Amino acid sequence: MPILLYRVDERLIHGQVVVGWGNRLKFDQIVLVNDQVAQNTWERELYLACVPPEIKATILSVDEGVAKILQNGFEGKKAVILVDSPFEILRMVEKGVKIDSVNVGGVHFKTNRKKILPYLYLSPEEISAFMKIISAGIKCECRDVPLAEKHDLSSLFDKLGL
Amino acid sequence: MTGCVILTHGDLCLGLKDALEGIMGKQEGLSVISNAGLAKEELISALQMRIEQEASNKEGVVIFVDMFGTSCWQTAKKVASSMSGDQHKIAVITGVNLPMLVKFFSLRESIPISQLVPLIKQEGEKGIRTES
Repeated sequence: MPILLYRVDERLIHGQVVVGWGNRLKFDQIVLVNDQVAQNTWERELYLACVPPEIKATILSVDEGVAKILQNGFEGKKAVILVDSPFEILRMVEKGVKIDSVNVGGVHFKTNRKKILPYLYLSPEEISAFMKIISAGIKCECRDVPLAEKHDLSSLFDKLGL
Repeated sequence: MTGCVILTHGDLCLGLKDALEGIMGKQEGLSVISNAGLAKEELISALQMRIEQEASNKEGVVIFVDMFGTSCWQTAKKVASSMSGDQHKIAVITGVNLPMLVKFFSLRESIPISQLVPLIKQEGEKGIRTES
């Protein structure tokens, strides 16, 4: 299983991922997939500085990430793929990446976002993107840190009448 | 005088402020922010607002962060690089602890920010000891 986790987390590489999920999954590679960060040297360096030396970190655009995944570029690795919104997941799926499940971590409060969980606030556009991901047969499991309770996003949407 | 913003995970910033003021009495120019539940842009604008507040009539501001490589550190670094300039100097220091804060509040009226930062870093490191 070359890719251990696909995670949506607005903070991308940060404590919950490196310490929380790192200790649990023992991954050896973090792949940050984001067009904006991939193009910005300053931001790349900022995120790369957050990774301990024993973990390899790569920052790729969505197209580069898709190409690498489709070429089985993570075979033999224990990698996690990090994106900051459901839109990247949707683009990856549309370009042919097979994903069984997505871990949904922190997407936090800002104007125009509706509360789903204490660490999950989504805008109408983000909700509709997640709905498309769910309709594509991908399980979306909300869990900010490994020891937290799991919540199925589809059931949460049903409960909220979305 | 140099201003101070403490930016941490959870309520650590409130606890540090409480402990510091327990030792040194109530301090002017001490703001705290938690990263809990705030989207990236919201946290950036909250920090910018506190720095504007703390920077008025002050020589500069030190942002104390609890842990290197975290969202708090990323936010502090982004804001410091966008706001630091001739008008006010902004420094970021990670691994905030009580000895560091006590030293900062003891010296911040008498020493300029450029000399203050290495001194408080040293004090924070000296505060970590093992006994066996």
